[in-house]
Amino acid sequence: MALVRWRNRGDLAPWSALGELEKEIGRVFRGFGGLPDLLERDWAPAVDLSETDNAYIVEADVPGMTKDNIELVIVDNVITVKGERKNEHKVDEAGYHRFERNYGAFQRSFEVPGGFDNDKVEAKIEDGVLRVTLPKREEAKRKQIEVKVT
Amino acid sequence: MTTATAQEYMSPRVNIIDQAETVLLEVELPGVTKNSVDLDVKDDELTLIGRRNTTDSPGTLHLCERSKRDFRRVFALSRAIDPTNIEAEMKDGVLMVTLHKTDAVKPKRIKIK
Repeated sequence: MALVRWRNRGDLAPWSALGELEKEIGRVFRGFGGLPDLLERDWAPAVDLSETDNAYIVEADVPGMTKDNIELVIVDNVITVKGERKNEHKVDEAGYHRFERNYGAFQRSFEVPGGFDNDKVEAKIEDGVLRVTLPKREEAKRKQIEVKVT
Repeated sequence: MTTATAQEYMSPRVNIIDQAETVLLEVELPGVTKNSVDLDVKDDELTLIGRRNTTDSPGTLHLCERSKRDFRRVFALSRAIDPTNIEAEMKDGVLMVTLHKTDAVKPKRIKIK
C-alpha cells in the first residue's frame, strides 16, 4: 500500500469546487500589492498516527503555534484538528524576502475505528509539536481470549 | 569503535526577511529545544543543525508523515552581514535568528547643508 500525502482541500462536498474558484479569484484581486495575502494557501501540518494497546496517539508538527490558535473538535469517532497560523509580517520594505513557511487556516480530521473515550482525551503542545492521546474505550481494547484445551 | 554513518538531514522551512539594519531568519524546527540547536559561523557560512528528540512512538504506526531526521541548513552570508553580531532565540519550535548588517551597508541619511 502506498502512502500518499494527504492534502487538505477543504470541504469535500460536491458544490465546494465553486466556492474554491470564488476564493481563488478573490485572492487574485485582493492580493495585488499585498504580499502577505498571497502567502496564505492551503496547507496542513504533517501528522503521525500511532496505536498502542490502550490509546491512539496523534502527533502533528505545528511550529510556531500554541494552544491559543489550535482547536480540537470531537464528534462521534472523528477527531478534527484545526488552527490558523497568522502571518504577522508587514512586508512594506523593498528588499529580498523569502517566505517558505505556510500561513493560513488548516483542518484535518481522523476517524478512529472503535471510537475513544471522549472524556479522557489529553492534548499537549510543546516545542511546536501537538500530541493528542485518545484513550480507547474499555470494550474496544484488544482482549486476549484464553484457549482452553480439554 | 563506532563508524560514523552519513546521516541525511531534513531541510527546515525558513523565512528570510530583509530589514533596514538586520536580516531576520525564521526557521521551523518542530520538536527541537534550544539545547539541541547548533548554530555556527565559519568563514562566510552560517550552519544550523537542529536535533529532534524523537522518542520512538510506541505501538503500530498508521500514518507517518513527520520526518524523524534532524534538521540542517547552511546559509551563505554576504559581506554585508557582520558575523560577530548574531542573536538567536527559540520559541515554540521556531528559531529566530537576527543577523546584523555591517555599518557600511546600513542606509544612511545624508544631511544637506
